[in-house]
Amino acid sequence: MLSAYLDGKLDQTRRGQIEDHISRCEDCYFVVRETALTLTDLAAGASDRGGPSGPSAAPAPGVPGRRLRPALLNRYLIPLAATLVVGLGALTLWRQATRGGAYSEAVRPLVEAVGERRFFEPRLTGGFKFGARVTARRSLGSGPPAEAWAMLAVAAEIRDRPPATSIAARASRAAALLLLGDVDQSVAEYSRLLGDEPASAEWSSNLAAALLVRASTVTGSADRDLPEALRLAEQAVRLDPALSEAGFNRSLALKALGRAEEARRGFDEMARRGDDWSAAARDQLRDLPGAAGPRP
Amino acid sequence: MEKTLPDAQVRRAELESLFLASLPDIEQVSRFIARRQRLSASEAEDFLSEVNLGFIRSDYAVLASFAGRSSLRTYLTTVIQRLFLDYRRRLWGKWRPSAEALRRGPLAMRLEILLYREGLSLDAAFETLRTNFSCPESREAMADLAHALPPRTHRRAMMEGGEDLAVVPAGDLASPEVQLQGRDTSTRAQGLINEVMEALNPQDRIVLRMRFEDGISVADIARTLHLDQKRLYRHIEELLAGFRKALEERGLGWPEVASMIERGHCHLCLPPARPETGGSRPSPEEAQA
Repeated sequence: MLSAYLDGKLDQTRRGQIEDHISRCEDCYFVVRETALTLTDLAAGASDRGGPSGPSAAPAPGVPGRRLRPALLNRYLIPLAATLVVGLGALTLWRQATRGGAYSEAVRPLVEAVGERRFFEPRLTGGFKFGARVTARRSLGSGPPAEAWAMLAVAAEIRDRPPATSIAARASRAAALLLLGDVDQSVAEYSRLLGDEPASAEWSSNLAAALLVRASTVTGSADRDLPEALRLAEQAVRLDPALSEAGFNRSLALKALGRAEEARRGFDEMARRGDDWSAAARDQLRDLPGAAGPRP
Repeated sequence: MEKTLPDAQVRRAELESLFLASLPDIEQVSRFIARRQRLSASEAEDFLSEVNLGFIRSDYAVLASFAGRSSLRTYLTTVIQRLFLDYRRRLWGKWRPSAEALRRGPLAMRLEILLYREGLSLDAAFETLRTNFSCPESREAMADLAHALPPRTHRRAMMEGGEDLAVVPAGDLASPEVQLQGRDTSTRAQGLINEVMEALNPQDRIVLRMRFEDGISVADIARTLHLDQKRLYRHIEELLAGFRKALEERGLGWPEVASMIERGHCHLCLPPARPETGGSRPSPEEAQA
C-alpha cells in the first residue's frame, strides 16, 4: 500500500487514510520518506545502472508479461527511447555544467594559488593544473617552501570561513583541507558530500584522491584506504567516463596496489590521447616496474 | 491435491526467477540505502545478506504479495527500507541520531550512541570505539567530535512528560547548570510542540516534520506527497506562521524552538496512533504491505 501511495496510484480517500497513518507511525513515515528519497536519487544516477531491465520492468507475479509487436516497437518506441536518451543526456550535461560551474567558481582562488604546481599525485577536479611537483609538508627545522606559502594562505582562509552550506563551498573546503595536509578532515568532508550526492562522479573521484593521499602519507592506512580509493575511482569512471581525473586516480590506485599491468593499461590509454593528461600519464608509466614508456 | 503440488512448485519457480531477475536491483537499492544510512563496509555487507535472506527465508512471500499496484522498483525499495529498519533496530535499538551526528557521519553517530544512549564517559566511549570498531582517531579528535555533538536528554523521558529526565553523561561535555537550564526549557517546548502537532491535519504534520526536523527540500517533499511545489512553498509559510503563533500564544518563540530542534533537544514528533474508531482506516500491517 505504501508503494502504491508513493507511486500516486491511490484515490484521494485512500491517500488520506495512508497519510493519517504515516503521520502517526514513525516506522511507516521513515519507510515513505526514505523510499521517496532513494528513488529520486537512484533516478538521478540511473545512467550508472547496468543491465537492460530494472525491477520496474518486471511484471507482477502471476501477471503475464505482454509482448510488444515489432512494428509498434520500431515505429514508436525506438524513436521515443532515442529522444529520451538524447534529452536525458542533454539534461545531465546541463546539470553537470551548472554544478561544475558553481564548484569551479568556489574553488578558483585555490586553483589560482596552486598555479602550475602540484602538491600530491592524485588529481582533484575543479581545474587544478598539476604542474611541477612541490612539497608543502612542514618538517622539523624548515617551513614549507616559498612557493607553497601563497597556496597555504588561501587554503587556510577557505578552511576558516564560517561553516558552508552549499555543495560547491563544502567541496572547495574539502580541497583546501587536503592541500593543507589535514587529510582526515578532507576525507570526512568528501565522504559527507558523497553521502549527499551519491551519484556525483566528481566527489567519488575526489574522495578517491584524498584516500590515495592518506594512504601515501599516514602509516598503516594503505591497507584500508587503497582498495576503497580504487572502488571510488572506478565508480567515478562509471558515472562519468569523460572525467579524466577519475581515470588517472583509478590507475594510481591500481599502481599503488601493485596491479602494475592494469595501471599500465590505464596510463597507456591516457598517454596516447595527446592532450594535457598525456605527459602526466607518461611520467607515471616511467615509474612502473620494468617500464620504458607507453607501449605501442 | 494432485494438481495443487505442481501448481505450488510452478508458482515457487516463478517467484524464484523473479527474485533472481531482480537480484541486481535489490543489491543496487540495498547498497544505496547502506551508503545513504552511512553503514560501515562490513555492516553494509551484513545488511545485504539480511536483505537477500529476508526474501528467501519466507519462500519469496514478499514477492508473492506484490499485486502490481505500484512499480516493482518502488515496491522492492519499500520492502528493503523496512528490512533496513529491522536491521538498524537490531544493531542500535530504537534510537535516532541527532541532525548534527547525521551530518558528521557514522563515527559521530556511533559516538553519540555510546555517550547518550549507553551513557558511557568520553574515555569509555573512546576505548570502546578503539577496541570494538578499530577506530584509529586520536582521543583529541574524538573529544572534538564529542564537543560538536549536541548534548541530549533522554528522548523517551521527554516524551513521557519529562518527570524523570536522564542525566546527560560525559561531564566534560556540558556543565550541569547549562544542562539543567536547557532541560526545563526543552521539556516545556517539547510538550507544546506535541500539542500543536497533534492539532494539525495529517498531511501538514508530515510536511512540517519533513521540512523542519528532517531537513528535506521542498521539492522532495512535493514529489513524495504528490503536491504542487509552488503552492507547497506558500503553504509551508502559512503552516509555519500558524505554528509560530500557536507556540507564541503558549509563551515560546520560534527561533528558540527551531534552535532546540536543530540541536536535537526537541523533536517534531509524530503523535501516537489514536485508538481505533472503526471505519476504513488501514491497519499498520495493511499500510506496510
